[in-house]
Amino acid sequence: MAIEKAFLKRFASALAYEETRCFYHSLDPRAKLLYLVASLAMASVGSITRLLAALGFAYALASPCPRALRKTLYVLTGLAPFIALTALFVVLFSVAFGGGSLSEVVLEQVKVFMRIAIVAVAVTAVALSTTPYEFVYAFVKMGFRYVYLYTLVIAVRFIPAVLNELSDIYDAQRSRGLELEKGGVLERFRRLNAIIVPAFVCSLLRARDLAEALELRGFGYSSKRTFYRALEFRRRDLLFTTLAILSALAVYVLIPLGVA
Amino acid sequence: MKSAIALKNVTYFYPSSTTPALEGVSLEVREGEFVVIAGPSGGGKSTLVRVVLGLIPHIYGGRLHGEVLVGGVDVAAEGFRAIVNRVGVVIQNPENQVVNVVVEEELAFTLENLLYDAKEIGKRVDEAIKALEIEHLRKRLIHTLSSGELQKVVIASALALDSRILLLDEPLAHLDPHGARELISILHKLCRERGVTVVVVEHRLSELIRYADRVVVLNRRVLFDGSPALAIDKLLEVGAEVPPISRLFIELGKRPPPLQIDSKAVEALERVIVKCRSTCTNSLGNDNSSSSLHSPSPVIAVEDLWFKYPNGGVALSGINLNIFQGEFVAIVGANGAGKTTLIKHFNGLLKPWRGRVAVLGKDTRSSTVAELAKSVGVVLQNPLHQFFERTALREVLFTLNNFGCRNCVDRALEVLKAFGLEDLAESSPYELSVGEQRRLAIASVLAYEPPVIVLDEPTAGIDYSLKLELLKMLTRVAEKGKTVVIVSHDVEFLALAPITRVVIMASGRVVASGSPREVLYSTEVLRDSHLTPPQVVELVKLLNLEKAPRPLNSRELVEYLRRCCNGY
Repeated sequence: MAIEKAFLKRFASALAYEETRCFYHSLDPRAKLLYLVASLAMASVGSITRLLAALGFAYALASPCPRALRKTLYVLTGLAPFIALTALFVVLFSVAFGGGSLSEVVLEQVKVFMRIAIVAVAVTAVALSTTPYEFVYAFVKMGFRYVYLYTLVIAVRFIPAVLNELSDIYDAQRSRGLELEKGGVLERFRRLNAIIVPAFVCSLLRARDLAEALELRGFGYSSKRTFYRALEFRRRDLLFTTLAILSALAVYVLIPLGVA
Repeated sequence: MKSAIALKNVTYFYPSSTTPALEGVSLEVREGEFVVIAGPSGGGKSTLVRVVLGLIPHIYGGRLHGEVLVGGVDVAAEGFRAIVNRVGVVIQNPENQVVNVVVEEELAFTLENLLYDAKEIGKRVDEAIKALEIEHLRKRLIHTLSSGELQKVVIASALALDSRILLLDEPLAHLDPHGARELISILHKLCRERGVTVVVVEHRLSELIRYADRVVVLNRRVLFDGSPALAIDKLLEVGAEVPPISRLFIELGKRPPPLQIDSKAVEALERVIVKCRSTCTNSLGNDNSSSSLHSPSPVIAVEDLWFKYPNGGVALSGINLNIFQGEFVAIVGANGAGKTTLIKHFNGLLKPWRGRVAVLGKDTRSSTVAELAKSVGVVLQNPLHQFFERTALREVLFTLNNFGCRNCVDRALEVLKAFGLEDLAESSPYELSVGEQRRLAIASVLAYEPPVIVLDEPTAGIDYSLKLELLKMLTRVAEKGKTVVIVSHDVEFLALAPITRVVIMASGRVVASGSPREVLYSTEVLRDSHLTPPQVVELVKLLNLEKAPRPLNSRELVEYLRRCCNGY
């Protein structure tokens, strides 16, 4: 339970926006989205040499924001037990039933970890510096409709509130003697009602309030909307995007294949 | 003055209801007025807000008769879209109405939806931030704000839109006294300096009423509509809260009652106390201080307790506290003082980071919540967080079953009867009124008879008559010899309760502990802890009556005056 909690906490932390400003906060969200795409491209290379280069580029691109590096380390250490367990499981099964050589299977698992590390730093850097509103703005600029995109904003906005509420409900029921850990599977599922029903009712009430607030605040009255901040793709965005794309290209073109 | 809101003979039935929620309501609020709408729970106050906003009938359906004009617009006919930039609303739980993640984005949200250009939005957002003095919140994340800060953001958002009408539905329900005073003073300033029409629907009137131009008492119909001073009698009649100073004057038979402690009120009472005997200092009827009576070993012992949140913030720092059997302890403090964090250690919901908590001698770190809950029944703030069964009876049975009581229907029915809920045993908990839900929440914890009962903010969001009902219930529980711990910042309620000890908390520490007459008279400690002393205490201090046996509420002060002041 403690490991699961730590995993969820660190995973949630990776996706949380932070007020403390770093270099990434000043970038255009479109530049950050391109950086994310470039990082995903880098993570999908096959050879270990290229992955090593990709790892270097990914962390070098994130280095202007030391907070992102620290947070990535925090997230990866949280994920480490799960990655290690999965890797062990895969190695044992592959060697026992797949007939592959041990070194090949281990190398594949190392590559998996490197890919996770590349994606994690990019996701963390982008998530900690971009509000959902900025993502909406970026996608609206690309021609998407804001009404649908706002679902993302609302989801991110209410996730902490709903999690807090779940925790309060769990506390209230434990105070009445509820023990979810005891009994058989069916009994445990039945007991979960004590959490699910109040959570559902409270979420419905919250949804009603929110729906009314959206209606009273002009949401969806028009198919278009304005944005109070101008989204400008400036020189620094261009420079950063170019660097990210060049890094990806370098990984694919310039770095020799090495060990496949 | 022009009319901001006008309701003409409005009657409303919710869908499939045969009883009207509002009946023949006629009401006019003029531009720039500060109007307070009070009345008992279930009296139609929130329905009135929905009618004014146009949510009724356009979203809620039902049958609406009569005319509703907001800023001259027939909102019943034209719908809420027609008044979207005229009215700003703050609902009871403003957290639910905020859409965005960052404060600045939230302030711009409505303007963006209504297609204002970026330059104009920036200007208006800056102005609203300046008006509410919330520059420090501009880049803050919404989920990190306190209730008071959140309300300011919602009001600023309405101001940015230049809404000339502000409608607030029970805005003080979850604020501590300091936060409540701050919000009221903001509303008053907006009304007087900017000419904004302010309509506040509220139970907590003690602080608010003095700022109102008019008070409307609503219980399906308009029972009263007039000046605050004249509203006191009607408010008392419907069981609503009035300022303790007003209650005192009414009890002394002096009219018109004042709305606040001012020089006139003090002078009037000085004329009474001139006739008092200086030797009259014998104690008041209910002196509950019982420090010498308790057993030697505490039921809850907290030793050098420290607690850290997962983010590293220290919530409790070195708390030392013993609670003895039969005590009625009030833990008092402003929002964020660490009260709830402390009581969550009493049944093991939280474990100490440093230090020790023992319940009946058992260390909470080595016991499960279920084991500790047998001794300490904790009722948390929101009753809706615990209801999930089909009937009220099953709710009580759920707790009894968890503590090993099988086939306990008779016991459950007995408990429901003790709480006046026997007729509602087969009703869904969600069909009950706010007061009944509160009673059921307490009943379902008391059912298994834990020796200690802890209640977290039991008076939040309930009206005065329900508070009195709760008070009676807690008094009965205390009289049975149970240990009662109540967490609250509602000092006026605590001044009425048979409390034996008050513990004041601030910034995660215990800053004072002692008998109510000792602690609630430490006005400086209270103010430093962002609390306000009971009005009667303030009055007694102004009258230099401290040698008197320190009354805490109007009833006790009247008792003193009757006993000691000839022919007042």
